[in-house]
Amino acid sequence: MKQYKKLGLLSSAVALLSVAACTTMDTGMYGSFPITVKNYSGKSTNSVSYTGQIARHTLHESLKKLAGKGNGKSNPVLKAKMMSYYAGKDAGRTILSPTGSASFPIMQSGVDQISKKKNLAGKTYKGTITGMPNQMTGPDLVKFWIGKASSAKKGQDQANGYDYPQLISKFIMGAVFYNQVVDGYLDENLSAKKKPNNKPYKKGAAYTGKEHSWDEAFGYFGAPAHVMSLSAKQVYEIAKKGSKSTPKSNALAYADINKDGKVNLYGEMTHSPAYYAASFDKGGKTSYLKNISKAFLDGRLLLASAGGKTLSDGQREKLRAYAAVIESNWEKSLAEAVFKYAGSVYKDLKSIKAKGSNAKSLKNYIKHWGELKGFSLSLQAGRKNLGETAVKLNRLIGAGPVMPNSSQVTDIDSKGNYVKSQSSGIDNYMLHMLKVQKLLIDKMGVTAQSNNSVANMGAMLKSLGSGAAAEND
Amino acid sequence: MENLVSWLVTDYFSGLLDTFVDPKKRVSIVYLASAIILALAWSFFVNKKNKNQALRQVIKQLFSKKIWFSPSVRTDLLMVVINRAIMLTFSPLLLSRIALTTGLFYLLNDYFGSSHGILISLPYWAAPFGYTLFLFFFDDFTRFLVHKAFHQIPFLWTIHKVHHSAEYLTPFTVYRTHPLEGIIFTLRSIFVQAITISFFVFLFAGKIDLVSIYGVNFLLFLFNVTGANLRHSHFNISYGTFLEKFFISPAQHQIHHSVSEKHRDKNFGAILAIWDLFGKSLCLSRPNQKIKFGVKNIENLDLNKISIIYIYPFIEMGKSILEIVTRTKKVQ
Repeated sequence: MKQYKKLGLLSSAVALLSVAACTTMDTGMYGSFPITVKNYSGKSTNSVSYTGQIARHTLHESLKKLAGKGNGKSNPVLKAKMMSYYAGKDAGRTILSPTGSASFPIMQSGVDQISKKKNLAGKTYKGTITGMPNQMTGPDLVKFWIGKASSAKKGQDQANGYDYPQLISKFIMGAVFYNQVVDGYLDENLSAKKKPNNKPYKKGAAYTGKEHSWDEAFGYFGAPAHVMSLSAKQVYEIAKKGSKSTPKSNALAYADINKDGKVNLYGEMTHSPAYYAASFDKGGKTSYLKNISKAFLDGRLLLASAGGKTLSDGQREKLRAYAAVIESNWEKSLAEAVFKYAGSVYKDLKSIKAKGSNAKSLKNYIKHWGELKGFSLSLQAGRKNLGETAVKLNRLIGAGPVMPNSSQVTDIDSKGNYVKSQSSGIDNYMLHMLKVQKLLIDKMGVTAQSNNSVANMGAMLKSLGSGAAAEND
Repeated sequence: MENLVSWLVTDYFSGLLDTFVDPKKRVSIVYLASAIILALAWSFFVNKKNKNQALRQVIKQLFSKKIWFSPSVRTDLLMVVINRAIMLTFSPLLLSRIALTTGLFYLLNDYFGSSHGILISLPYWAAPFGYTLFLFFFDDFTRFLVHKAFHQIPFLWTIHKVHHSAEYLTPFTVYRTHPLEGIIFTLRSIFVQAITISFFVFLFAGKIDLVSIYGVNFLLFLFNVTGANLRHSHFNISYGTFLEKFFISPAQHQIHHSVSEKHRDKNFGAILAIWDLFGKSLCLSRPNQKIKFGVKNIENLDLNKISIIYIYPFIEMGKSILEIVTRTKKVQ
């Protein structure tokens, strides 16, 4: 009789567990997953946690904001503040971005409210950044830019053509978020030895090694937990905090899944990698956001079903397959961004060439170049070496933009000063941008192709009609 | 079966309907209507007929039973339907327009990179007008060249003869063409579009808009709306000796369709007559010219029989190739 009772209890537990799993599956939320750690004694009921990653998203956004605060003179205070967001672990750091508004209230105002003692420097790609002079590592480069940004006027160096908020931000998107995920969490962490699934991540944790590793990777991607129930456009609108929504309150409605009237930066907000993926997908030609999110979710379901046991080779193989989807889609979304900004740079140069440069056109050009360069370095911060494609990208884009007077930064001396030389001019640089776009189509298979400088021709052909007719005089 | 039905509905019939609606097509309803109006006006104002006589003339020359119930016109109409299906099947297999255009564009950049965007600072209207005019002239010139080739190269004439075998002309005679001719003309159009677009995007570094009316090159629209359909009709409109040196009138194109030896290989031009003028193949029209349309039918074939129309050119082509081979052997 006792045995039957036990069996009954067990089967109800299994039923409950499967209901929980089904609920997750039904709603497609990356919100709550059951605790599978054996003998867990804590109070938590959810094994999902990626607060550190969300804290880093806010550090990244805030650092970008700070990088644009300079007044053109040396500013050690600003530099120290930027360093505290990049490399510090100080308590009490305010979230400078994203910040809330009446139509889009945000729950947290301090980084510590999400997670304490986090920084970006420790998680920045440590390899050599070959796309910039002087053999700097990832953290070296960010620190170099932080130094420059602190003394630039509103973040821009108009003589040399650098926009530091853009360079820093777009580079971090690859050198931290993308790199951490594809080169760490979804690479060696999926091996049999590392982060085992039959043990808690650390003593007393509510999650196993593999579960937590997977969750943190999802956190770096920065999609809202309910991403699968949103369209790419809605995910994009959330990141824009209502500025691209009509009415403005729509963004809050899309984000605020628990209906508490506030947007939780953890789980309800769109952060930069997911934002960029969504921004391409909303054009309808790609589905990077959904592919990545679904792979994360499917992987998490698999981990939940493993029930805290060591993963079999087959299970790890499946996880690797999901990881491959995440990696290739993420890589493509970065390539799309490089493509997009190569197109913007091309357009800016065209306008400068036709109308001459003025403060506004120069500012736009430098900003777009910063985005182009930052993303192109990000693209190279993945797990694999892009080889010839990377070499070509770096040569075509150069260490700095070609300025209207044809000068271009080609080196950085030992004191950190820019060394400039005469380039072959902006006409040639425009061609470089076309070649960047062609390279990305040929080698990276970009398909959204925003700002395609050559796509114009497709539209022009269309306007002429097909010409395919057996119609003749 | 399902595929066939969806193909018929979404591709075939919609395309067929487009033929009569799309202002890019010669036989679009707008141009057909404007041709009738023009014929009426011509009869009334130029031929000085009264209203009733004008109406009678137009009905007789454009709508007579003799024309519309002739085997020739029945064949034309059948070919509209058949050719549409053939072209729909084969045209996607031809050269990709976008690939050729971008390929040419990159080629221009590779070889003449320093000239990229060289015309960027011209006034804003220069690009669209330059582009539209260039396209018009280049298109018309290549039409002339290919058309001339169809007449003067024996092997191509076997194909083009299909078009000239029409004994009665109606606007639908433009579709009385062998599909091989359709394919060659499609390729011509692809090259013209690709060369023009790649060249202009290269020079102006960006998208250029066509100067258009209802989405059609405005010059082409003017041509079509001013009675282009009367070229294939029995209605005789001439432009006079001066204008006919610049523009091919309907009467001049009717000369091109004449069976008479003296009219052989004349007026290859589509819109402009200047190519024929330079090429010494221009023939001006005469008032009240009486022309018999068609081709010499030495073999006495039924040139309105669909099977003969579609298959016979291949047999003739085979014959002419065989002839060349035997001749070469003899020479050896």
